[in-house]
Amino acid sequence: MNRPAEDVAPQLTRTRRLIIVIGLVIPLLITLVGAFVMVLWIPELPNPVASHWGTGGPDGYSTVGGVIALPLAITLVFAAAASFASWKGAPQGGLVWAHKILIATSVFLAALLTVIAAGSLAIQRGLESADATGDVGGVMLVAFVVATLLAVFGWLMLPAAEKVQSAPVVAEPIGASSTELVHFSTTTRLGPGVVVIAVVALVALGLALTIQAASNPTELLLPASIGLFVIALAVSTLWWRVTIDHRGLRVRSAMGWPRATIAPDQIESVSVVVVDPIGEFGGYGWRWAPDGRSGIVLSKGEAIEVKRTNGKKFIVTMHDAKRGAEALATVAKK
Amino acid sequence: MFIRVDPASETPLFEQLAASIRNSIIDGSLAAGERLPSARELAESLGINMHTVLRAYQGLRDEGFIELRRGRGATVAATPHSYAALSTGVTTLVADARTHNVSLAALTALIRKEYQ
Repeated sequence: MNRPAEDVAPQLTRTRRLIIVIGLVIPLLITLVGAFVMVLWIPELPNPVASHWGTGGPDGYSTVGGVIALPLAITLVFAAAASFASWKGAPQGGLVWAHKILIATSVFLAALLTVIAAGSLAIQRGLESADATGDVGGVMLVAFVVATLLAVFGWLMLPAAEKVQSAPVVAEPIGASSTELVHFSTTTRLGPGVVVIAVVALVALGLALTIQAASNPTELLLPASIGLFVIALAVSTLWWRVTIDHRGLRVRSAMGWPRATIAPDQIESVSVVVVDPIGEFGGYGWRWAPDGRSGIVLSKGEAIEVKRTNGKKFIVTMHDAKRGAEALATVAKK
Repeated sequence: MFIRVDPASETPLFEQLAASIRNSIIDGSLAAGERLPSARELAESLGINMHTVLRAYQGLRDEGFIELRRGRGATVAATPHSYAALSTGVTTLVADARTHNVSLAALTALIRKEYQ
């Protein structure tokens, strides 16, 4: 269902208007109205106010200003990032599902944080001291329900998610004699732009662990082991070796794990496809798409798509995908 | 890198293997500095003897296509020129030879004489 080229531009204009209204204006309006109401309550509130609750009542306190400013600051940063990320639109002028999720999340976050902040202040109005504040369980529940409803509403207001899947081109086996042996190997790696983003995220994770180590060394073991595992996994999956031979398709990450193998007798057909990582898989790495396809998605462009005999599809992005697909089709035939 | 070898062919396996790798280097699908699979890996992958792979690798090293270093395995040698310009020249040369019914043996003899 392709739109003629002259219809893409007006559709993109409509999409961008919706990005601004739903992703930016509505979230900021929610937080600003919330902030205004909370400011009106300041004379009736204790100082400091309760801002954190443990099992036995409030256990953390802060100034009213901090409680009012936090939803504003977080919403502003997230809404700006979500709008910026989806600004380019999908090829037909609409939005891909990953960007719809970002925009709906921006509404969700704004409503959730604002209702929690306002609700937790509302139950402290007229109190002499914040110690007497009651339970916030009800506030959290209301906030979650309101935020979910608004996010669903936002999602429905956005255009239907655009499918950017290309038509697979089935690869034919090479006209090889039955005695011929075939080997194809290549490497597939993440593009430099995405590597920079990944490194920034990993450095942030490393910093968070260092701060945790300095401030609270006794509770370090669990976050440190999870954090180091995530860092190792991310570094390992930046780079994969792909081998196609009589044993089938084998992909192996830089450190040898994770890896995957598809034997020739599990292969139904092999095709060449063009992949848009964000649009189809919501990102880069070892990915699962909502339509049931999975695979190693490290770059925009050519990939081989293996349809297994159980109907599942596995994708590996690579340079020279046509030759790889033909080699795999040849071994699958035997 | 794409390799096709046929054990049933009259050409020795190591020669077929070397030709496959040489072609991958010439057409640019194997870039300079890229690491080739180890002889053991490639032998297992094709289901042939490791010494056949080593013999092909040694031949390619002698021709200057790859470098063999202990511990680093085989890597594609850096060449100061690209084969692209040369191979278009060869294409026209061969087409010319065909139109004049010059045999492959005669053409290679001519090239060899010119080269020495």
